[in-house]
Amino acid sequence: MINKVLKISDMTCAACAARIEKVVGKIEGVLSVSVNLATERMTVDIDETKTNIESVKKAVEKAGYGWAEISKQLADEDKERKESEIRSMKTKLAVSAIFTFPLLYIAMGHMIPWIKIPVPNLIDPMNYPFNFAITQILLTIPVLVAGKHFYYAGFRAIWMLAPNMDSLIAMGTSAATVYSLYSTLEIWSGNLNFIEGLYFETAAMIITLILLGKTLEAISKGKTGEAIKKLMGLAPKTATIIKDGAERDIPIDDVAVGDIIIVKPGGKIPVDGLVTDGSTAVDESMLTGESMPVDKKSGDAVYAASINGNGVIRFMATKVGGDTALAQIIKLVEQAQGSKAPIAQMADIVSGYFVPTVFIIALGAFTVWILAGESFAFALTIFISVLVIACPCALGLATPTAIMVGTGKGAENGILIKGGEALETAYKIQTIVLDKTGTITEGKPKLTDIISVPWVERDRLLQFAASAEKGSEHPLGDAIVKAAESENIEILSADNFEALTGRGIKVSIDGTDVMAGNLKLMNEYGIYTAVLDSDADRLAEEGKTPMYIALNSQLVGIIAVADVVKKSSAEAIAKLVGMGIEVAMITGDNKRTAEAVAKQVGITRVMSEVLPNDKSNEIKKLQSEGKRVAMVGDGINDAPALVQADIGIAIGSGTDVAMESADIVLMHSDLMDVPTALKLSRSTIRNIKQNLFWAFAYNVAGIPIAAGVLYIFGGPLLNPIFAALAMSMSSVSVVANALRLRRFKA
Amino acid sequence: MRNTIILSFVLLVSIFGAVLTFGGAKQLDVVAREAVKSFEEIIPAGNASFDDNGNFTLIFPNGKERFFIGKRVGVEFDLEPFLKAGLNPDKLPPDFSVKGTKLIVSIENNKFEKNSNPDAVFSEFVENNRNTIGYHSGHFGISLKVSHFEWAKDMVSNDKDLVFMLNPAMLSGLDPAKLDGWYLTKVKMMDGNRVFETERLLKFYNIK
Repeated sequence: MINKVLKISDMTCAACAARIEKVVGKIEGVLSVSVNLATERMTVDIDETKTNIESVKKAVEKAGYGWAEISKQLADEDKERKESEIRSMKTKLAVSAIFTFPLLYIAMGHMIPWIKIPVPNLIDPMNYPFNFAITQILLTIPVLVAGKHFYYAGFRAIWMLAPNMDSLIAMGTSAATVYSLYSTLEIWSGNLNFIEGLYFETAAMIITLILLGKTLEAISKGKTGEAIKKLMGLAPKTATIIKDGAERDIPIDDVAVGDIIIVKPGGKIPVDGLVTDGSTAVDESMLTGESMPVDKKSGDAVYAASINGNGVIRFMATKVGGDTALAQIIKLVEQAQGSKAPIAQMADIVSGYFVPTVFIIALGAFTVWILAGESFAFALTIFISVLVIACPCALGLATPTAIMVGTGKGAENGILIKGGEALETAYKIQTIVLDKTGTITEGKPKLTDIISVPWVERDRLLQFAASAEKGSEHPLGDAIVKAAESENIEILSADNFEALTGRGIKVSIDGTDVMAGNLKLMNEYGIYTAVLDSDADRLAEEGKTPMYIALNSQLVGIIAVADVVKKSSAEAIAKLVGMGIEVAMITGDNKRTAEAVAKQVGITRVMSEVLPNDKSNEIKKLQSEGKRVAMVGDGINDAPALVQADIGIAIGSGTDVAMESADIVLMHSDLMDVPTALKLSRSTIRNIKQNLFWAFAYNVAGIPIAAGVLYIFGGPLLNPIFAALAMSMSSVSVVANALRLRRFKA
Repeated sequence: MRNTIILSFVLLVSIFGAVLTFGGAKQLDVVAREAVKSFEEIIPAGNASFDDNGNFTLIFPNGKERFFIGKRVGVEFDLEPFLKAGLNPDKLPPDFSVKGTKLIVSIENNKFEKNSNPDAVFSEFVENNRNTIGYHSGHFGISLKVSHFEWAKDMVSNDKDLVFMLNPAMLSGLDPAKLDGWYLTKVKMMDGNRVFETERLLKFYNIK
């Protein structure tokens, strides 16, 4: 299966997006397709054994739309094209308004008593009706030219039997214009009653108001994509490489893996790499949120867009272009913005059927009023009003704009939400399970106590323990090694290293079997621990992790390691509880230590002594209680649990594994980002629901009024001009409501 | 964008300039054409005649009122009903005059040439006094300053072939309720391109 993203052009509304999904979805071998109107992207999964991307491209073209490959160059051209589009929209709107307002005054100014500006007698409707009509035609033509793309796109869509929003506008304004031209001919023939049959100002105002809505929409959509633009702007455009002993500045796209790059003080790191020469401190806050610069020396990794401190470093490029950590983050955010929440899929289905239904309602209303004895002009006004008020463009914008702004806001705060589905599920979370080490705690344990049996020296105990743990990747072992190194204790070489998952390790040092681990390990090998059990209990109650050390199956001491609780953990957990979410802790640590830490941070439900492979089972158990469960872990060894959870949240990590297994990635190590992420999800989903409500409300309420239902009971009719205004304002209000998310605060 | 906007304004001004320049052309004047055409249909139904000076008269079915075109153009009514309704003949507006037993409402004809063809004389009147001619709700009319004389565009479909309209406020002493044969009612009038409602005295004729 391959996943491909293409840029789609010439879409104007949700019906267009729905049509493309329909035609591409029909191709055999296409496993899934999703089209996002707001980002103009189509994401498609293809079974290569049955079809290929070329057939997808052909289907898109046949449906009447354009496509382009996504590339960095395209991204730049895309940005320029969007800005050019906004300028073009503003120009069309200006031209349209310049001619529409005088037209409106001439046509309808006599109805407004407080307007005192006179109209020349030569275009007075009662004295010179033909001049009156001709003047309106001349003023309408430039407006129709400004809105010509509605006619081109709208009639083309009708021709292809897939009418869209432009079709509604094209039909409505064409009906008004054609009838007005007919009325003009009748006036010329002497049928002066047809002065009342001129609707040029209606057509012009509809075009102008729709252009106003579209212009505001284009400007707002540009703002929703600002988060991505900010991220993209972090990377520098050039890099200084060392080739043949000389420094050369090259475009960043030309940097290859293996190139040696030099970065001077204050410069931006252009690509990911490993330091080969020099040392410095690098500001990596844009990736990790860590405000303190991180020391870098030979062999350390550096990341694109981070800022070099005071030193000069040379490093070898290891990841360039789309492979850098920054590019991965941008890709993740783009994919999130292009994804659909399940709630949006419902709106898309409705949009697909909406436009043809509206045509039928408009024609039906027209026919009913004609049969009821009303004039052709009356029935035509009804027809135009229904077409215009029913435009579903707000419906198509309701979800993607909110997702764009919401995920963009998240990205600004180091919260990477992988898609609309993640947002919607996060909204429903009832229980959250936090991993202990590295999530609630700093994940940088320190050695706190060494208790040896009387016949073993303290330093000897530490030497054996550190030598055994040297080959271990566990943070607890690392703490012991660091403590030994700090005391200049010699680390001995170890053989036959064996990691016993969830219990400890076993090695051989100078012919001595050394075991280091928890009580489970000691019991498993029948090692007598009673002499130090009370010390172990005391240490555990203090929130420390006691590690038993045995030499040749004999207990020789306990080394305690403590992992400090993060400053923000208690506050974050209190916030989650305040949001009505049950908070639990899961850890492989012993029960006493786990409960001591849980007590510190205000957690009452503790799952301790859980083996790494069993974490996902614990999640399953909670889910079987009927709960929606989120799991927060560091993404590396919690991957199965993250995948099992309804929402997996990886904290403090930008690794590939985290991004693969988690639904939400928190770039910073701050647990406060967890309630922030959930709060953002809730705000975004609430925003989507508000948007959908308003979009539907305009249409559902507007159509019957436009069709004349209220008029039957003596109520008002909906003038086509007001219908156009309401329709434009519905799109603007949806986008404006989505933009309110930019003011989101944690 | 700036250039496009400037061009748009230039085009806008040009459109208005063209309309105001060429809009007065006779060939485009539908109201004048249709006014003459519809009046020509009324003439045979009434009693039309010319006197020795070429003044045109159209006497209405009751034999008392008449429409005339000469050096002045207007309508003549019997004075007696107005006097009975309290009209003070000494305080009449400028367009009104009394001649014997007749109350005359008239305006000056910009250009009068002796003619013996009723169609031609009316057509000439319209051409030379175009600003007095208007159309409203199925009737053409001649504006006699504050009064109006109107006729139906299409006699067949209209039940009011001829309409006289007077402004009672201009007639000092007149009690509209006592004026025989006239109706006081609210009508919609045009002032420039503005519609307003006001009270008028109306008298109808059906000459079919």
